[in-house]
Amino acid sequence: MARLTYILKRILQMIPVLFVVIVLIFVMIRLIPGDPARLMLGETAVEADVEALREAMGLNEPYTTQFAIFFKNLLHFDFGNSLLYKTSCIDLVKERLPLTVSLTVVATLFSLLISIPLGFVAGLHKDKASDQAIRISALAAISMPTFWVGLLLMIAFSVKIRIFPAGGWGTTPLEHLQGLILPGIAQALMTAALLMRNLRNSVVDISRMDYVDFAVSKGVSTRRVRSAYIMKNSLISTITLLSTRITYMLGGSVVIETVFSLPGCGKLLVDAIFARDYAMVQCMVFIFALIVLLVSLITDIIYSFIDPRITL
Amino acid sequence: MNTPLLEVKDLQTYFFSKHETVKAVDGVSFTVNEQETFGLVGESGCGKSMTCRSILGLVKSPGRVVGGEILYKGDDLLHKSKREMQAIRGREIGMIFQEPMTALNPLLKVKDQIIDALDKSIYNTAEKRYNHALEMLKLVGIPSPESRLEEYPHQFSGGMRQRVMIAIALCSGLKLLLADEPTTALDVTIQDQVMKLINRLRDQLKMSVILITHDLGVVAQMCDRVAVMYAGQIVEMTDTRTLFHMPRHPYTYALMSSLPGAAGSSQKRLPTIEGAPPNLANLPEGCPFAPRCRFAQDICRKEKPELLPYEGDVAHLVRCHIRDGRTQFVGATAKGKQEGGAEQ
Repeated sequence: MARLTYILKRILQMIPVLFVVIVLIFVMIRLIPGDPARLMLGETAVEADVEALREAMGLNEPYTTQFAIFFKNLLHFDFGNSLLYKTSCIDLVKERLPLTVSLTVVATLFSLLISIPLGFVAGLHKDKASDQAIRISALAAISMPTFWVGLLLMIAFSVKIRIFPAGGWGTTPLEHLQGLILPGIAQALMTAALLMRNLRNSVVDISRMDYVDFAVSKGVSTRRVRSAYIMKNSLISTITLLSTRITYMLGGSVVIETVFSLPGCGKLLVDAIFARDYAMVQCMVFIFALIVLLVSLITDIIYSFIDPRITL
Repeated sequence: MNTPLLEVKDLQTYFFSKHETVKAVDGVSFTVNEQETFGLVGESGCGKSMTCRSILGLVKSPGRVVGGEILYKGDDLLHKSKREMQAIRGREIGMIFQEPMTALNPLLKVKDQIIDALDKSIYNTAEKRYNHALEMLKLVGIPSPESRLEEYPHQFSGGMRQRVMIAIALCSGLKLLLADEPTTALDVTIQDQVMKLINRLRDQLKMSVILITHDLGVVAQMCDRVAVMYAGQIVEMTDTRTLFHMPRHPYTYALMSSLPGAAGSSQKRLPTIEGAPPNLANLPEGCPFAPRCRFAQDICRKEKPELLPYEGDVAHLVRCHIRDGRTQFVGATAKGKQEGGAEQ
């Protein structure tokens, strides 16, 4: 019950944040130099035509009216038509979002799979050989740029050993998955290294806590001490880091999508920016903001399950 | 009562670093009898906590027990395997910590933290375990234990957490409780309650207690026998009454006279022990207390004193060179001032 009110409260808190995001998008797009009507019609268009289009697009209305219209459309997820593709923005995003989200999910899973066991082992064996080895690998992983890792993986597993496609993600769910493995790993590597270092350090810190000593002194088995006392407490700070890393990977997907020529949102966004496709940019920024808020909501909900002190 | 419950012989716990070796516990020997409260008194860093941690095998790297014996019911705990130690921890010997705020896992319900400490072969059903947990909270005097069991540590006050910790430590029927400054973090009224609780439980559960403290008032209230520690060594050990009436080591005496309300200290500022405890990695050549001692003579700065019976009384051990003519510390104040002046 307490958790339910907490979650409800957290969702309500998202509303003002979302409103601010909407205002920012509205202001941002109007601060960018250039006239959208002129942009749509091209350099050679006659001034009268441009003016007519401005009138039709509502750009001559006062800003308050413009914002009201913008806000009303937004509530219906109507972002207008893309200047570049001449079709509905939201439809384009809808078409491409699943890939970017799946890529991020795959990358998140990989990074957890790598970082949790390694971080835990390193933390428990502080300063031993295994810890040193794991820490050096983490440093190496952090130093390698994502696109380069992507290329290396592609050379190794698509060119030399042909087990994964070098690009694209096919049409069936299985092909989708196959297509996401390599970019997923490439995307996951840095996050995994960061999470691992974070987890390793919190395991070292938590192992020194009184409650761990007290657990040992009361005769709790080593396994139980590690799982319920050290691990559980260590994961708290790692979850915080994970949530920021997930949103970071989402935003950074453009690089890896380009390397593996995946038709995802990242590429859509970059194309839109270069083409000054403002409608499209607005739409993407809004959707990304929404996802970021969602991720942080989920993080907080997970928190409330792990840490009883949160719900108060 | 003949064989002591615990016998620590020449315990040495050192901390190693690249440059130096810190002798945190340097040849400590004492015995604890059944149903006795034994006090370990001393300043911070004198090795009293490390002595306790050594007994339970809780010394962490870079620290290590390098020598001595810890005989519990005749068996040396230092030669036990990890598994054997685990069976002793919490079942035979347990420990409560100084900070009730940090010694409980913030993420587990009190119920689960008690149940974790139970022997699953004895408490073999969930119901038995729950009932015993409930029983323990009642034993330590926590109101409405049924609902408290389902709560987390942050929902308890400091005193209540200390009670919870005691309940957890005692839940498997200890024979020996190591209490590491159990009331230092609590306010005075709560201190008294917790001490009384420990006393009551000691009698009720027929266990022995090693009470670590720097509070002589607590010693007077709780302990049967006391060892005073300084710089990793015991400097004086005797029964509580003798210690308070006839302290024989200058350090003990200095501790006594810095107590509020102690003899000769009324209406004046409390006397303090000048100087700081010595660096355990670089102890002075002679008696470690000599630099701060009002009675120190040449021999004190050259030779380390032994822990020897005072005037043939094997129940009263003192580690001091100046064994005679010191029966009247109180009268020695004037002399002490002269010597103190000469020292500086």
